[in-house]
Amino acid sequence: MNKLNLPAIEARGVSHRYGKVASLGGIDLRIERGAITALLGPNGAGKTTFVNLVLGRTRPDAGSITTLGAVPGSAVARLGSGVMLQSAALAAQLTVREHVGLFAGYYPAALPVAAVIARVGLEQQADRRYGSLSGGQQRRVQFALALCGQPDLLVLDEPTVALDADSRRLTWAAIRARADAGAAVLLTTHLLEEAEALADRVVLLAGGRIVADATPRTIKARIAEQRISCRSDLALDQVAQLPAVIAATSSEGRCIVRTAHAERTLAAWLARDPNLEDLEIARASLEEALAQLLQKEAA
Amino acid sequence: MNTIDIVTTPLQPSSAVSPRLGVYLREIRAEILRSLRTPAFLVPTLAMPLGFYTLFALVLAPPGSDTGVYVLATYGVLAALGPSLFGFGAGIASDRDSGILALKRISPLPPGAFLAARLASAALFTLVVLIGLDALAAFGAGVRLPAHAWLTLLAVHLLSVLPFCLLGLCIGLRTGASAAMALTNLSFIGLAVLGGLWMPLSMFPPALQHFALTLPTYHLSALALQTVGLGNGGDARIHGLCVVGFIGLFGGLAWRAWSARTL
Repeated sequence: MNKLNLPAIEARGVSHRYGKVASLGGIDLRIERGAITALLGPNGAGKTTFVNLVLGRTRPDAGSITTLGAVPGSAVARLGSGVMLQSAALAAQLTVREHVGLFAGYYPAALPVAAVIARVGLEQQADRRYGSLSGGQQRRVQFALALCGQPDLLVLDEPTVALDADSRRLTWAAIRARADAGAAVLLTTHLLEEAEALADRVVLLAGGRIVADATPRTIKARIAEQRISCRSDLALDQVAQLPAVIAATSSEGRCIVRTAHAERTLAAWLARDPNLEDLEIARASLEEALAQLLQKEAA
Repeated sequence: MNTIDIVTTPLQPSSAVSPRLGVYLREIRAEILRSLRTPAFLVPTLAMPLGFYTLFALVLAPPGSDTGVYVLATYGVLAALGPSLFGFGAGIASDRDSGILALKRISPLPPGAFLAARLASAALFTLVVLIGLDALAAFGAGVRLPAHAWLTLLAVHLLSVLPFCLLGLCIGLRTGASAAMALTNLSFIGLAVLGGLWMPLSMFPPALQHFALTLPTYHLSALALQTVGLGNGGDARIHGLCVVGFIGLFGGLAWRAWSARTL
């Protein structure tokens, strides 16, 4: 069928505003099948707004958007989509099996209920009521509902929030399997690590605009700035000359350096100052890195 | 779809003869399970009309009076009011708050199925209470009615579910869960007392008696009372027309709220 060649989502010049506040300003974005696309950005970047547009929960104020070649929210689009919202509790009184069975019944080509439950690792909890599950287990039930219809488009809004490390790996594997089966996966995250581990493509959103659209490796290189803090005998202007350093400042006797490559910077630094002590290295938060990136682009 | 399907379609996702009907039936089943597993909803809505009937028609009624028939007619409307307002109205408000409604609306579930399931659930619980009420009346209070009167009465009482559910839907879609609960309680008591379900309107001052004309509970109980020969002498067609009007009004308001895109 030729619909397989169509992009799963096609947004052209999409703008959206809540009242007077613009949440998306002229987005052009095609989401292809068979790949995992991560919408990465800090809170308020417009990720959830874009997801709501894809699902037809809200309409663009300008521009156009199609989901699986159809109007977002139409029966065709809904039948082909599996969705996990950021905050959606399910009925506490129903069991895991009942929930999955109910949703599986909505789709024409649903997986067997037991297979879905196994895929999210809830075999032991299958007959427990949703209300008695832990937060992470509840999240996995919600994920199972998104997965059960073998959808052509999987939309996951912050899918691994509240998951422990094991659940997160399991969820990642199931998402990957869906993309390998030819589905388009669109997920939002504010964790660079998650986008890096999972996505084939990262679309970086900030302030309702696409700031970058590339592979996770490229994005990471552009925003994965690190921060070195230590006590050093070296003068500040000498520190600023070290490899990969973006900026150097001092505060309360400590030297604080922003670097694009902490290892290279430190190797050179230690060679010139063996007395360097009290060392701390931290990754800049996404918000800090983005602010940096935006500044760089404005310059 | 015909009625044969309802009997023969098993509640299994894979083997549905009519997939669409299967979706409706499973949604109804899930909704009923939810209510059955919620004692806080179940006990008061089911027990209250039966308890009141026992008290007023069996314990307190003077011998030889027609109290048993009178309160059967009015408490039947009350029996529909509870599950409709609480199960449907407050229930939908809480589903909206929790995000269940949003998830259902973006799922492939036909939009009507979610509402149909809740309506069917409210109707079923109402029917259970009505059967209990009728049994109490027939075997406890010694109420004797012709067969057609029993059936008409049951039909009027069941019909009450529709306007009350639509009213509940208006409340549930327009307010948050906690406000909806308060508003639902208020509507329940207001509609029950001022519509003359708890005590006869003739005990009220004239101003309140006139106010009752604006309430669906009044017109439904008037229809029920006429069925058992205790009507107020008004025209049944007028009461029926008023009920249809309320269905149209609440239905229209609910439709507008439902059509608003982001829920």
